[in-house]
Amino acid sequence: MMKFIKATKMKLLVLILLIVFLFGCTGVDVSNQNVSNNSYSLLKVHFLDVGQADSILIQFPNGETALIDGGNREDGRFVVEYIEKMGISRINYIIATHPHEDHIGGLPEVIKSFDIGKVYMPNKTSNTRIFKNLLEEIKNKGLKIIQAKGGLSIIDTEDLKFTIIAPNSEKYDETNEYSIVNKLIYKNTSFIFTGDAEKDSEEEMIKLGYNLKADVLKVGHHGGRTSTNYEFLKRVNPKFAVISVGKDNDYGHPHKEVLKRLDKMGIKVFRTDELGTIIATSDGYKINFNKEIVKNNDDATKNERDKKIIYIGNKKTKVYHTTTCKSLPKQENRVIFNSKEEAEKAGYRPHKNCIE
Amino acid sequence: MYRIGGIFIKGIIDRFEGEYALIELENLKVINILKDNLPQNAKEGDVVVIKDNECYIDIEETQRRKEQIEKIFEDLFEG
Ligand SMILES: [Zn+2]
Ligand SMILES: [Zn+2]
Repeated sequence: MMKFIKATKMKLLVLILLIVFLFGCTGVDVSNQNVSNNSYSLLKVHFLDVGQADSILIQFPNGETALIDGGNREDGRFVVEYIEKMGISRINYIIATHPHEDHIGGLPEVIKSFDIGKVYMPNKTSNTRIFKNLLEEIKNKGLKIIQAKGGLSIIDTEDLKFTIIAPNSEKYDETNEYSIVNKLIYKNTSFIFTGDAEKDSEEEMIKLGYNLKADVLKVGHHGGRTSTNYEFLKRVNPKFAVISVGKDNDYGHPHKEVLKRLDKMGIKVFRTDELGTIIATSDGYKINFNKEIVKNNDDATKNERDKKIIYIGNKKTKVYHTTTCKSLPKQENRVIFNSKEEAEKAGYRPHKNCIE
Repeated sequence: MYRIGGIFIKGIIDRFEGEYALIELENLKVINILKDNLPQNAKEGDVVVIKDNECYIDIEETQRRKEQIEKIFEDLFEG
């Protein structure tokens, strides 16, 4: 049934395009800008609403497309449908910033669903199933992985440059530090996308003398305090900052310190937890944030993780708590439940102070 | 996967965020567990098992997964 609807939609689209093509057209509403976007020489950057995760779709003015990260695993379908809605069938560049699930989670589904050009990844593996899935999908498509390294150029034309400026070392202590950082320049406008890069990588970028100045900064690690350090922020000196973050997440992202650093420099902040998907459009001279609200409908699954998924029961008192409760039982008396229902079924009652 | 009422959680540590470890369960769901509930030396990539009063790292399975995945990665990776 879904397939049938999709097919009809496609036919309709083709028909509309055909009409436009045959009769020429000035008065048509360009709400289907997705399809014809490129004829307007616009750069479009979509920060998708994937909750506590990252996924950024770029439509370059030369007609090519890139996807930086794919959200959590359960965002895969949302990301695929969003890209389809833009009328895109080929993604020229897939950038998997680093192998954490909140960045690569949706990518296997994306790779399966579209015609893919090149895949960029840092030299860092993960033991998770999702990472293995990603490798399997890359293999199934007969693709290879290009090692991302600072200094590598992806697009290099006079008006449009898309480059990799990190990672700059072979080894780091933290997986986040392996994050691919991209700089995008379109005429007089520029963007920096940082994945989850933290202090070590930021310091390297400064030391190596990259031109970090950018109009828009995708804030590192969902606004975590170990990223977006003052020195780095000073070099980027952005007008706008975008934070990709889940509502009421368990980690307190974005951290107050980061918001303060941004605020002190008078940077306008856009957050996906407040605004949903954020779209920045550049004509090469001016960047507009024409925010169209595209809420991820998958809220039910998306929020499941943000809520306390596990509960800790006290075998002695038969009371269960959230994992952050101040009066958790001693280690040896703990029982873990995966839901409230499970706890209730086992005859446990909720602790009044931590469970409403 | 897990028994109703009892505890049996098995999964792979995807990452740490603040005081939490994020664990990818066998059913592919990722859950938050307080770091305190894991062995102190637990690190990213470890296969962890939480069973009643026990909590341990399955070192053999961790190693097996690591080798298997690195092999696939190397075949695809153009450094
Ligand atoms: Zn990360
Ligand atoms: Zn992240």
